[in-house]
Amino acid sequence: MRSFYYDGSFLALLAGAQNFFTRYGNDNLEFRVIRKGEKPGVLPSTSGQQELLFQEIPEEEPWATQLSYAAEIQARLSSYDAEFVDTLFFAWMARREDVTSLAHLVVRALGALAQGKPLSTVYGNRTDPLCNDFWEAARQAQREFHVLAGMLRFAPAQDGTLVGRCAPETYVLPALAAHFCARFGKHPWAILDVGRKEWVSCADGIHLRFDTYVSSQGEPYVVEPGIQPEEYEALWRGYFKAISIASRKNVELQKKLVPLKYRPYMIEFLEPKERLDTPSVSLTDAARRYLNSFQEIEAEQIDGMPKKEEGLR
Amino acid sequence: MSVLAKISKHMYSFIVNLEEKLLILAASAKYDASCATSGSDHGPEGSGSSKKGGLWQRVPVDSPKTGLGHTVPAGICHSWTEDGRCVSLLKVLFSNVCRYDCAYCVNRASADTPRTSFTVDELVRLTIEFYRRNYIEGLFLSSGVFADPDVVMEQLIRVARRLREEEGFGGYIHLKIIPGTTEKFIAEAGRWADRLSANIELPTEKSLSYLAPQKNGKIILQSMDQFHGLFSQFQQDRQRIRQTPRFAPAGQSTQLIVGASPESDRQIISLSDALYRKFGLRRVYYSAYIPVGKNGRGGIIDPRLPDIPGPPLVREHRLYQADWLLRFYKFKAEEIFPEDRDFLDPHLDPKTVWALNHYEVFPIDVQYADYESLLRVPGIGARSARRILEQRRLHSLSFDTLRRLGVVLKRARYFISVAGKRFEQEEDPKRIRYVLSDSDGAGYQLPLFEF
Repeated sequence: MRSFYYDGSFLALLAGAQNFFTRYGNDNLEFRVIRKGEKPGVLPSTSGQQELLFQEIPEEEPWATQLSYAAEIQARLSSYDAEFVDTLFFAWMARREDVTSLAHLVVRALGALAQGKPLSTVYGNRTDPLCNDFWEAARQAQREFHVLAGMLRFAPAQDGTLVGRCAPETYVLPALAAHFCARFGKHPWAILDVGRKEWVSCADGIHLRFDTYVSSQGEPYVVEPGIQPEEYEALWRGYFKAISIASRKNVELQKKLVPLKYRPYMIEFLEPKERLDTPSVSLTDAARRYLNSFQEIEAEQIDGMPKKEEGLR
Repeated sequence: MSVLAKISKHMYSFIVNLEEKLLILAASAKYDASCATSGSDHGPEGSGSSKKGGLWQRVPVDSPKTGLGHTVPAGICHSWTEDGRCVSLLKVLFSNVCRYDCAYCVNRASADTPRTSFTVDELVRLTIEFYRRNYIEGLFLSSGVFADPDVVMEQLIRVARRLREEEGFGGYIHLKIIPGTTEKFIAEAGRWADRLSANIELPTEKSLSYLAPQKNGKIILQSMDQFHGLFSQFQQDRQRIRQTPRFAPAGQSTQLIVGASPESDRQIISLSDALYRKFGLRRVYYSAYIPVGKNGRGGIIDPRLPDIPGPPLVREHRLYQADWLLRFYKFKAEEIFPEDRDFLDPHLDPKTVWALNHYEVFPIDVQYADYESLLRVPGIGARSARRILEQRRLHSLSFDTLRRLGVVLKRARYFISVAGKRFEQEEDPKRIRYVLSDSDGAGYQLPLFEF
C-alpha cells in the first residue's frame, strides 16, 4: 500500500488529493495518509518544511506537493458544493491525525467532478462506509464546536486581550477561530487548546495565527494565562445561581447537557478559590512578540472564490 | 413633573449594589421560559447579514468587522442551570416594581419582595462585559409595569438602542412588549431588537380577569396584531428596498402558563394554533406553573391559585411536543386530540398517540411514501424524513440504512415497512402502547394493569 504523509493542515489535505488525482486518477484508492509534522491550523506548511519532512522519511511520499493550489481547490470545490467543503472541514477536525478515509473521499469527489457528476453522488450515500465515516466525523466535530462556541469562557488579560481555554476531544480550534473572529470584531483574542498545547489568536480582526505552545527553537511562546478573578466573574456566578428554579431541579439533565469534561474551564462551575490558583503569567506579551516575528502566510490565500464555470485545473 | 421624576417616584431603587440588583432582577425574570437566540443572522448595526458559504467564510479577509458580536441562525446555549434549562441570554427585568397584582407572579404588587431597578448604564455594561466573556449570546429584557406602559417600554428601548448605536453591539436582543404599549414604541423596539414578545400568560379571558385583573387579553392580542402588521410591512419594504432597516428578524413569541388555571390542553393547543396562523408567531412557550411565594417574605399564597405539589413538568413537556407537531409536522390542532380527550396522554408523546389511534394507515412503506406520510411515523423526524427522500433517489433502503439516517427504530419499527417487508409482525396497539410508554423519558412507565 502506498503511504503518504501530510502536515496536518486542511488545505494540504485538499492539495494532496488534487495531486493524487492528477497522477493516479481515482480508480485505485489503495493508499493511506497520516499526519507527520507539527503544523497547526488550516493553512499548509511552507514548501521548505515539506522538503525537510520528505528527507527524513524517504520511504514515504509527501501527500501534497503543489500547495499553492490548495486554497483555490477549496474555493472551487465550494463553488460546486459548499456543503461538501464545510462538512469536510469539520470531518478533518475530527480525523486530523489520520485523514486516509477523507483523502479517499476527496479523490473520489474530484473524479466525480471530472465526469460532470454532482458531488452529492460521492458523499451523500450514508450506507457507504466511507461516506458514513465522513458524516460521523463531521458530526463529532460539529457537535463539539457547537458546544464550545457556547461554553468557552474568556477572561481579559492585562492588556485587554480576551483569552479562552479549552481541552476539546476534536481539533476544533479552526472552527472556533472562525466563529470568534466574527464575534469579537477588532478586539484581540486568543484561544488555547490546553490538551494539544496549541493555540490560535487574532490581534487585528483579520489575521488568524495558529501555533503550538513551543516555538521551533524550543522556547515556550505561551504559558497558561494568568488572569485574576474579577468583578464580572463573581457577578456571573451569582447570576447563574439566581436563575435556577429549585422546584424544577434536575441535576442529571444538567450533567448530560454540560458534561463534566468541559466544566474545569467554566467559571460558573468553579469555586473562586480554584480560580485563584492559576499562575499569574501574561499571555499577551509573548503572543505579541510572536505575532510580530511570524513569517506571514497571508489569509488572502483563501480569498477570491473562482467562478464555477472555470472548472477545476 | 418631568417624566424622569415620575419614573423615579415609582422606581424606588433602594438597592444600589450592582450584584444585589442583578440577583434580585434575575430571580424576578427567571420564570419566563423564553431563551431562544435562533432565527436571526446579522452582525453589528449596519453590517447586514453575516457572510454565507460556510463557517470559514465568517473570517473577514479585507477589513476587520467593526463592533462587537453577531447572531447565529441556529442559536447557541452557553450553559445549563441546575434545573436543566438553557442559559443563552442575560435574562433580567429592568425593574421589578409593578403596579399589577397578578396572582401567579413573583413580582405582583402585593408581594413582599425587595424592589429595585437597573439604570440603563448598568444594563449596557453588564451585557457587554458578559458578552465579551462569552457567558451569553445577548440580552433578554423585560420589566415590571412601574409606570405608564409607554414609559416603561421607552426604558427598555433606551437600553437596546444604546447597545446597538453606542456600543456597536451585534448580539441578540429580546425585548418584552409591555401590555398597552402604543404602536409607535413597538415599531421603535423592533428597530433595535431581534425578537419581541408579549406574554398572554393565561389561555382565556376568563382566567386572565380572575388571576390578573389589571391585564386585558384584547390589549395583549392587539400588541401582537400591531407587531404582525409592522413585520409584514417591513418584509414588503425589504423586497423593494434592500437597505430598509431591519425589524425584529427573529419575529415575535409569547408564553402561556400551564396549570395555574383550569383550561385543558386542547384549549391551549387550539389557542397556539390560532396564534401561529393569525399573528405569524415564531414560538409559543409553555411554562409549568410554579407555586411562588411563601407566607411573609416573598409574598402570600393566593387562594385563587390551585394547590399543587410542584410544577406540572410532564404536561409542559407534552405540550411542547404537541406544539412541535403543529409547527414542523403539519398536524392540525384537532388531529392531536382524540374526540373524547381534552388532555394529552402523560405516558406517550402525542405523535405516537395519533399513530396508535390511526393504526389502520400503518405500516407506511418508507421506500415509496411521500414526505407528509413519513412525518406521521413515530421515530421519523423532519430531518430523517428528508434524508430518506434523498437516499432513496439513488439507493434502495434497508432497516440498517434507516438507522444510519437517524430514524429511531425503537419507535418506528411498529409503523413501517421497507419495500413491503415489515420490521415487526403486526402488533396489538395496546401492547405497543405499553412498550412505548415513557420511551422518551418524560412521563412514567405505564402500569401493567392498564395494559
